[in-house]
Amino acid sequence: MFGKRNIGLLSIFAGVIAIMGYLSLPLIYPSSGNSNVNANVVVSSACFIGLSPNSITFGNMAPTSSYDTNVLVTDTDNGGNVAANILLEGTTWTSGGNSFAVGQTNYNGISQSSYNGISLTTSLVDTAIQISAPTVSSPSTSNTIYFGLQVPGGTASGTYTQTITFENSC
Amino acid sequence: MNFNRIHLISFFLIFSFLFINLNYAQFGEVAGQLNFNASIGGSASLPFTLINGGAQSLNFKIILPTLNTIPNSTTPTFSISQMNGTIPPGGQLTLNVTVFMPSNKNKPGMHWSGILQAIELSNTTISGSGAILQQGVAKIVGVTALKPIGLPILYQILIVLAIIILIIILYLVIKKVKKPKFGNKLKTYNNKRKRSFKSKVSNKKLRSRNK
Repeated sequence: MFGKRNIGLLSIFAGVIAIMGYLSLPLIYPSSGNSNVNANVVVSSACFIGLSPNSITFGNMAPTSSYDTNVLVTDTDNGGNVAANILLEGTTWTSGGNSFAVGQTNYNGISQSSYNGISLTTSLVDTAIQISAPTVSSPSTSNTIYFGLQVPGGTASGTYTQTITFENSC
Repeated sequence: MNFNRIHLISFFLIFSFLFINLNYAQFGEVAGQLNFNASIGGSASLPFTLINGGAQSLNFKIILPTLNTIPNSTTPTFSISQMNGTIPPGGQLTLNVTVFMPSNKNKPGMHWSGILQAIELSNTTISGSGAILQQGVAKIVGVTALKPIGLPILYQILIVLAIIILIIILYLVIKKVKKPKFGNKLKTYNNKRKRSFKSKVSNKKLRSRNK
């Protein structure tokens, strides 16, 4: 019925169809057993610092006068996941060649209606004021520190500046 | 009119929020104390990771810890892979902190502590009198002296070497002492053989004469 040549061609054709079918099987029946991709991440513990404002002004003050310890600075941990301790240090107040002691600036965790707090020092000190750990529902936590100043008697007139450094530690 | 006002107020609020967030970026650190256990005469290293959670690059400088002093001891010293640098927005940087424990006067169990600081370098200025606020992160650092490791190993190696050298010397000495004795014995043995050979020859001669 079929010639030898036709049988050969038919067998080649059948072979090609079989190979194509075999190759297209995964497309028709995608295997579900090994299609999962496992992902993992290690989240480390961290804390952040963000200050607001970035400078404080006490205005014009006469010698011996004081500024109430109520100048607010907010320390914010935005995005951390552990509690942080606030550490503080400052520099001597200077104006050209004149200066007065760093400790004339004081701080307090609670706003005061008078000049009342802990004297700032040139070495880093743990304030014992803590910022609580942020959470997913509350990703930003903060705490406040209030500053006050007293200008010592005999301080030469001038525009005095100081640098106060806040450091969060966790 | 009211609509415009609401827009203006909301724009102002959004701008202020962005300004506050962008102006003072969130500077962070990976939590945990740095507790170094360094062997006397050796060193120990730990990582210190800084994070920039803000939207702008953050420049920082490092202030190495000043450790407490202990009488009759030599205070360990620190080195860090970089003393300053820039962290890209949303990035983090891991510094390698190394402590060196001097061998002079230090004993195992001695403990020092201090604070490692990373301060953000900002361009904040103030018009008139007042205080500029700087921000940073601090890490409490502890250093404990451990038994020296390097020195006993060195001693052990030296002792083993000394033993090996001693064995070699002894072997050589013994060999040298034994060699002449053996030579003498050989000589005497050879002499005996010569004598016996001579006597045998002379005996043979005598026998032949007698015959």
